[in-house]
Amino acid sequence: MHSVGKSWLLLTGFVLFYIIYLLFGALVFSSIERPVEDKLRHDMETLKQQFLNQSCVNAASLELFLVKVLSANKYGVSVLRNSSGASNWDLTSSMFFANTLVTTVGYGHTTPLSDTGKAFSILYALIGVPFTMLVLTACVQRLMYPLVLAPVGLLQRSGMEPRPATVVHFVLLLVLVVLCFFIAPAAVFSAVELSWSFLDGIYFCFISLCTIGLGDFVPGTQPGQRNKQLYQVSVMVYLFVGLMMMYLLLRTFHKMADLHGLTTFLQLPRCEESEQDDDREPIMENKYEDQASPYVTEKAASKPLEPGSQPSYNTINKG
Amino acid sequence: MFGILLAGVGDHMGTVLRRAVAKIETLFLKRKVRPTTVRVISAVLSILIGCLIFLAVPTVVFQKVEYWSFLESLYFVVITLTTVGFGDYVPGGGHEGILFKPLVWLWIVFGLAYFASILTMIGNWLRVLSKRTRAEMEELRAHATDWTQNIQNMSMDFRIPNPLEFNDPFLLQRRRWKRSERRRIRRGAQGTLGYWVRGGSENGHLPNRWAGLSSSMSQLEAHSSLERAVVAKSRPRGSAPAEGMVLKAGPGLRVDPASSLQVDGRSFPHLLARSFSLPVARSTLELDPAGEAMQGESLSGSESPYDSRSDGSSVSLSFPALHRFQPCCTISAMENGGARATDTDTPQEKDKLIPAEKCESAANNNHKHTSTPAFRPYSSPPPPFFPPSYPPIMLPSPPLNTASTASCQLLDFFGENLAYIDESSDTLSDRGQPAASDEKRRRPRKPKRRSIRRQLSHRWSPPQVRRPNDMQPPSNPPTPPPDSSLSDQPPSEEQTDSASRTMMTATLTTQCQSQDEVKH
Repeated sequence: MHSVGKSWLLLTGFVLFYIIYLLFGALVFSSIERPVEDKLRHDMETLKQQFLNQSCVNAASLELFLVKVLSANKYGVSVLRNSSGASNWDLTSSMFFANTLVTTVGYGHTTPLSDTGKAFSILYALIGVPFTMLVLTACVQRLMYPLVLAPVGLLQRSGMEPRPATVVHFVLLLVLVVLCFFIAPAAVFSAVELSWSFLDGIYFCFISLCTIGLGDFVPGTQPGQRNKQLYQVSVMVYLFVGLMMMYLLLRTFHKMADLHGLTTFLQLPRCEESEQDDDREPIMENKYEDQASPYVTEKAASKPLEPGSQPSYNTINKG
Repeated sequence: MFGILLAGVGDHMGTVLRRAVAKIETLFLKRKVRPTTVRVISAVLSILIGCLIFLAVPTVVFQKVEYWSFLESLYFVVITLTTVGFGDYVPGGGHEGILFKPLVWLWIVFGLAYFASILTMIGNWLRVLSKRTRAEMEELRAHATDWTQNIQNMSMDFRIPNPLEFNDPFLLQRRRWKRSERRRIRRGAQGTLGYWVRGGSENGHLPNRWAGLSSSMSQLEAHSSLERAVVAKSRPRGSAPAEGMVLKAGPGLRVDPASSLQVDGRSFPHLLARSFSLPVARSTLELDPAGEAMQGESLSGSESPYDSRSDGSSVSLSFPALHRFQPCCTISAMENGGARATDTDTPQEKDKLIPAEKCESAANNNHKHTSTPAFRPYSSPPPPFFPPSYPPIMLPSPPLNTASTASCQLLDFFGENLAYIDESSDTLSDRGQPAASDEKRRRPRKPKRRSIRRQLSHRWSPPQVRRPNDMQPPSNPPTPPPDSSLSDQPPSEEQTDSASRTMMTATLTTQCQSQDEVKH
């Protein structure tokens, strides 16, 4: 009973810390974004006034027109002249949508309009999300040996202790992933998408691969995109492989954390081990934040996916 | 960070839920519904309740508050809880109370935890559907089995370890080792415990002692306390028969000198090297030669493989002085098993009673001249010296007999979730069963033997749970204990059991008889 009470205490502590973390985020975002938003609002107001002064349209009808245009824009239908040709629901675009749905990225740039579409989305997500996790973890399991176990073994054979070996390997893997799945795609995106800067590209990669999917930057939506279908398919492949690598990273990190932190807690009763595990991880993360890169935080960000994928880990990655 | 929190919340919520489910299941079990049915019902119920709380209620709430249609709010709920989050529907249009946003917040946190488990379940279905991963399921189930036993052994609380635990090969390795270690200790502790119950029940601090034993989680503690207990107890033990004990304690004690005499008379030096903390089955085997000696028969064909086996796995506690007390402790361990078995009898066990009966009759033939009149009356009531509250606590691996065969398919489909439920409901079924098994009462000993063997086979070969009947011994048990073919074990276990029973229930007269036999 003592251990139960203790773990409840720990959980309460976690929740409190989490709430504080959220409040902190709220303060920071509010202070950063508020001025920009105010400026944009002021600009829009003046733009609207200028437009009304120039033309003979009255304010009410313009309001109505804008509401309709904006709500249509929300569903990806634009009234701009040069974008009238492309549909958001051709085959590749629909596939892109389905991909964002089942990988839980969910950009929200296109959303189903009809009730039938919504109903089908529910069903499709309920089956597709676990299935995607299954496929991803199966792939990660395959990749685990050539990318994790073999290099660590190599490092150990070349005369390193197990713990430093895992750390070195993890850092190497992290750098590799950041290079291949953040820097390089960001460069490609900033080249292909005219309006994106390099930082926008990195932002997009991070938001996508952590399956946050804010949807403010979505590839292949700019009007007049050449080879749009090929582009979208390649983005899909990128998303899938990138997610896989993120899982691999997560998995490797778990392994390493086990090897490092958990050994000291082994003598405690089993019940508390999960909590100890939790307790340990932030420490580890902080530790690596110093030496590795700011992207360590992405582990935390991509955690929401984890519960769904854990069971697959359990069974598949056990051996 | 968030994932950690989510896992924690899920874990605790699962604990609370399981407790509630367990309570409900007790109610059902009191009405003599089959445990499997109860399990299915509870699984379905838990899913339904979860859906109601996390899907239906928010859907209706959003429908009212945000003026969305039913489908729109359901769409929003599912898209949110699967963490897709398109953002085309966002709550908080401005015309709701101040309390609404925190409520939505809470709902998202808990709903995500619940949905994670639901998605897990669906993922398990999908996994089952793909035949390729069948073997992995098998392994998972094995682990679930193993781990369920472990949990129940350790304590009564229902907390489950984080599913993360199964994640890692590293961890798994360590844990396997730990588990086997603990099991060994536990068995040893039980021997001591039974011993206490029998031999040391006059001095009033048995419960304290027991509590100390059960609560000492860390291995070292367990080891040391066990050792202490054994050492401390060995002295009064030796003089016990001379003092003339209470009738209760009598049979168990009196066998002691007799059997040790027998063993010594037949000079089995390897027995001295036996450890105190051997598993039940193996320590029962020590009674085997004793029983044989009583009859003058030679069953030695079956005993040689065991000896080699058990010597291989003997642990540090093998004092020669201890050995003479061993039979008694073994008997008490058997008693534990017996008390356990009365609780775990199930429909499945009924059909197995017939072979058991046969074996028993055979055994009876063997022992006919020793103590048939004596043990018949004695064996009919359940052992009186066991307080009724003991069985659910003491069982090292109570259930899963019931769960293993019948609900395997279910396990396939409900995955770990149901495995958890299995765990709790099995604990319950143990409590509930004695009332429901009146026909078993007639001969309460037979299921005991069965269950001992079954438990052992479970413990040694968790992956084999699937067998339609686990009469066949496992071919490749994964856990430390012997991996030789156990095919010859069941019958001889029956015999040893009956032998031990004979000895245990033997009255003074039969004991004199047997001592006479030795002298001859």
